[in-house]
Amino acid sequence: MNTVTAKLLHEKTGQCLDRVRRGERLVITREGQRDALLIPTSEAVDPDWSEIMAEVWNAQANTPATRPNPVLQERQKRNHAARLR
Amino acid sequence: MPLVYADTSALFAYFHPLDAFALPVTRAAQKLAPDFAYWPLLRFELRHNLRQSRKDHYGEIAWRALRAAEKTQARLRWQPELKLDSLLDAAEEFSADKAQSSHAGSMDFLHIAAARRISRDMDLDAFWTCDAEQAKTASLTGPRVTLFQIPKA
Repeated sequence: MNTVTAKLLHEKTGQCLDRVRRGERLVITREGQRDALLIPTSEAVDPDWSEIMAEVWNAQANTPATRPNPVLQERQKRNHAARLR
Repeated sequence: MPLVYADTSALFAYFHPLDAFALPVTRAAQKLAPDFAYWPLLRFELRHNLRQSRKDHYGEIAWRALRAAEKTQARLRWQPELKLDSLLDAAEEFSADKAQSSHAGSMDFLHIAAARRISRDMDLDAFWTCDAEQAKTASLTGPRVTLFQIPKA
């Protein structure tokens, strides 16, 4: 995604909007920080977590959580030095 | 939207409905509705574990949810400034300072170093983990720590 400074957006608003109208997505930065997104109106904004996670939460509600967390298991296996102390 | 650095242990539990920590992580996420910081190491570790869990219906559900979240700009908020080489240096420094007083492992240190780097540049609301040793070490420095525990039956 291309980056545009807030200063450039202020000075060349029309040009930036033309780019967005052509389908480009722009990240607006201020003092080097990414502050905002400029996206075409035809594009949907991000869905909420409730939309993304609907299937997960539905499964979670209907089935007991029983499986050990594999990330913790892997780390515990690997972390020999601390366990030897 | 609040920004949370969820260690891979917590993000895995968020996406996998049958993980032992799924319920407390989901409840916290529903309450706070945060975006999660996301960068190459976290993506690799999370995808790796979710790929290995794609053995059944639940693993497939988790994988689909992850891929949907990755398509968003914000729900998993990509951190372009987090580069592995510079974070390895930061984790090495952090380890030199704290390793002897901590039982946390090297990956734990790397994730904490990443969270500290983000919180240096922007508001990071919390660090979430299911790993007690990592939580202890993270609480010595950086943002507010939430440690998830398996609910009692």
